[in-house]
Amino acid sequence: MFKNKREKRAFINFLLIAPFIVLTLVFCYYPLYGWVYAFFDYRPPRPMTIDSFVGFKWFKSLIESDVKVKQIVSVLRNTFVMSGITLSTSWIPMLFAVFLNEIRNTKFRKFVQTATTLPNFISWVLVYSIAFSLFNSTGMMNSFLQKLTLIDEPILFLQASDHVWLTQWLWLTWKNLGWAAIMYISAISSIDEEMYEAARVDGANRWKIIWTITIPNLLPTFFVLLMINIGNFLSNGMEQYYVFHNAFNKEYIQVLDLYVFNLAMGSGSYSISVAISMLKSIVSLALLFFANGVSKMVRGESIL
Amino acid sequence: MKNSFKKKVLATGLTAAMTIAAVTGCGKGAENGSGTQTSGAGAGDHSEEMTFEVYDVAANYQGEQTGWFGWVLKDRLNIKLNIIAPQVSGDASQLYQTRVASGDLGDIVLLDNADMQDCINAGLIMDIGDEIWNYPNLSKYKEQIEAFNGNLEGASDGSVFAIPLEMNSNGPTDYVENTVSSMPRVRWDYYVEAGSPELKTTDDLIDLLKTIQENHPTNDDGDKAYAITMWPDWDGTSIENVNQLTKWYGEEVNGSVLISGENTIRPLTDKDGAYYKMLKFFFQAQMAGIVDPDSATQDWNSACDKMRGSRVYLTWNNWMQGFTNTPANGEARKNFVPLPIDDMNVFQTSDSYYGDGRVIGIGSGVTPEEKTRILEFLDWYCSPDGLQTQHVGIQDVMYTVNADGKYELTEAGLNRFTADVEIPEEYGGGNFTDGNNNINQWIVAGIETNPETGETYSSDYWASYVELNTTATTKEWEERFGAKDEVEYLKANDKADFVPWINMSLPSDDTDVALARSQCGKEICDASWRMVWATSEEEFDQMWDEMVTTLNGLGWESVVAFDTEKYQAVIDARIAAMQ
Repeated sequence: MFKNKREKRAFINFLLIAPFIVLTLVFCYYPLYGWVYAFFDYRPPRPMTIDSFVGFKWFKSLIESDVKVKQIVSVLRNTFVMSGITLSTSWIPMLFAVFLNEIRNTKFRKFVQTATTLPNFISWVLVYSIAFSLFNSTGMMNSFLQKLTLIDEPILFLQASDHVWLTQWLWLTWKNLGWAAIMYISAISSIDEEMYEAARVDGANRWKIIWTITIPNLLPTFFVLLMINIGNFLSNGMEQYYVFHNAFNKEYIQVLDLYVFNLAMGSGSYSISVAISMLKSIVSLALLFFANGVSKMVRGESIL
Repeated sequence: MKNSFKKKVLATGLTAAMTIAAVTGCGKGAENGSGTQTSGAGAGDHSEEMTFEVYDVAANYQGEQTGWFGWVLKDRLNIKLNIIAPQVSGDASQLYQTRVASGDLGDIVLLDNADMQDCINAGLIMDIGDEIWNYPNLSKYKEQIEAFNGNLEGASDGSVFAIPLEMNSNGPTDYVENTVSSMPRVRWDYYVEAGSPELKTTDDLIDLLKTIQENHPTNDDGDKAYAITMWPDWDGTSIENVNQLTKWYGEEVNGSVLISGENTIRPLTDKDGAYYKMLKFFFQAQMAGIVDPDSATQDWNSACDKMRGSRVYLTWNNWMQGFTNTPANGEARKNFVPLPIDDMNVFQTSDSYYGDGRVIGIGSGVTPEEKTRILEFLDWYCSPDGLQTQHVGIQDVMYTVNADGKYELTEAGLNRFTADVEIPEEYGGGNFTDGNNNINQWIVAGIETNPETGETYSSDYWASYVELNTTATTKEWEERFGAKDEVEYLKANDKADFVPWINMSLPSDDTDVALARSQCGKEICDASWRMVWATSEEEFDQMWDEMVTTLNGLGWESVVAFDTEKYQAVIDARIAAMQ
């Protein structure tokens, strides 16, 4: 069957990756077929027929009035700001990993690492119920402040539209910090111990070692992650914003994914949601290529 | 060909079996002591237990029907019901869309009229016209069922897809009940304590509630109380709490329009309309400090707990009195009572002779055996035994027969909505509320007359209950307002418009209207909630104007135009029924 050993080995190697190719085809390429919905007037339970073909109607309807343009602009603003904050603070997990690594007391280090990783496994719905019990009008925070007589009337924290971006970023960081640091912790452990020893012999102190050895060795990991994040710029997920959103903070909290969800699920307007998702995919692809190009130019290496 | 022949043979066989059963009667019902099982149920083979999935827009509970009603179903029909409740799924329309798109909604399907029409068109609902009239209890409502099905788009002669709910046989314009669906309700002793003020406008109501809240800042257990609590999870195109209050001033919210008791129609966003007026009422109440600050972020269950716990001083819907009113509380003058406002004009539809706007049907995916068992269940569901069970509970546990042959509530029956009433283990155990019928909708309304007693199925109108409920509260209320109940008062003082209830299948939205409605609805709800928390009257009005501008950009006119045309048909039917 095979001409030589090499071919046989190549075939076995192919078999090894075949399941993943199939998975990619099924879960990443096959769903692209669903894009056709964007060009039809589809409304379940009625089946889709060729009579309901509408061309680019849904794409146009996104910007057909000033109000809708305003809405899209505000949604994009929220998406850009929230992703922007996340991107511009994506060095925090790296720094956290570096400092964590400097803790000499193993027990304490393990404790900190576990305590910061754990929130990652709590679902957003539960996070919201924690937030509700802490911050409702008779919750812990308000009772505490009232007992200290700092306030007379309860503060409606969850209803507040101030600092939404900041508080949402804090919730996200609280939930993700430990998890995001894992990648860096493993990268640190693979740094050659000889470099540290040489630096110490040369008289470098702790700060110097971090600055000249640890961080430069982590940068490649950091840039790969950064690039992936740029590709995901428009998809900052919806669960978090879905559970925290209400009439009062919606103006600042409604991101693209939440907007699509509200559109599609509230009214069965699948077609228009598909149209937005299509645009989103195209923009994400463009962003990824852009980031890759910049990386090539600046650092001389790329990931694509 | 072959298949339809088989079906025919089967149908004939079943009919024959049922006739025999009807003649010989069925023993099981008698064993239960009810002796009222005149339905065709019991004819088929019940040895096999069956479980049916019920997709139910009215349910507030998801999962298997357990407790005493589960026991009754098992005992009478040997079936189990697994209830799918879009209302508790978090996002009702999402669940509906996904299930509909998958092509299987459930074995038994309970939907709003318009959705039912869509599902029939999509072939998700089974035609039961060939068998339904073999069932004696369902046949009692033949006129109403045929009227509804004849009106369906694409219906052929004799086809029956859906059975309307909450029907009665008293005629289309009758109003038997002694309460209206919405009017201000306040605790009697607190009202008297505040000096029994006469309420000329809603401002007086706010003043009254403010006084009550000042007198009672907490309930007896020391929990903080607010006069008014609201909850956002029932919101649709507009805030549901406000929608209920528009009925005080003669208008009912239907989607994007307000329909009045004088048969006029206008957009929800009309500043002279009742939606604006009642939204402003909530805003003014908030300014007065009597609205629960958690209103916009809590859910119905929290609100409900507050009502049960006496942490709320104003309720509106008649059924909310069930949370607080008992004969004992009535004697202690603690019952909630209706308080009329001078300038109000209550909107009330007549009893739902033709059904209440929701319908029940059978999913098209069921097997012939399942179909028969479901039809038997539906027939039992509107039989005297079934109705008495749904509307009150199990005989000898919740009610007993007295010397006159009439029914009387037991102690447990009296307290069933206000306390944790334990059900004996032999009848399924658990407490009454958890084991109550979680379908939460009835084919026949409680005001229907039970042929066994000549009284209604609902215990509210039993002579024994009315006598029991003549308490200090009702006596003093009667004296103060000069009428025996709120309906009599409203009729005598010309403070209500009673319009015939119309049940027809109305056209559902096309994609454009649906999209505009969804976007506009979110905008109205969000804006309305913010308006309740506005800091001044100017801000309130400014927010309203901003909302209207935004709505116009989202295609509000198209939604209003669609709804105006849609509900004109209802108005025409109402005018015709009144003549």
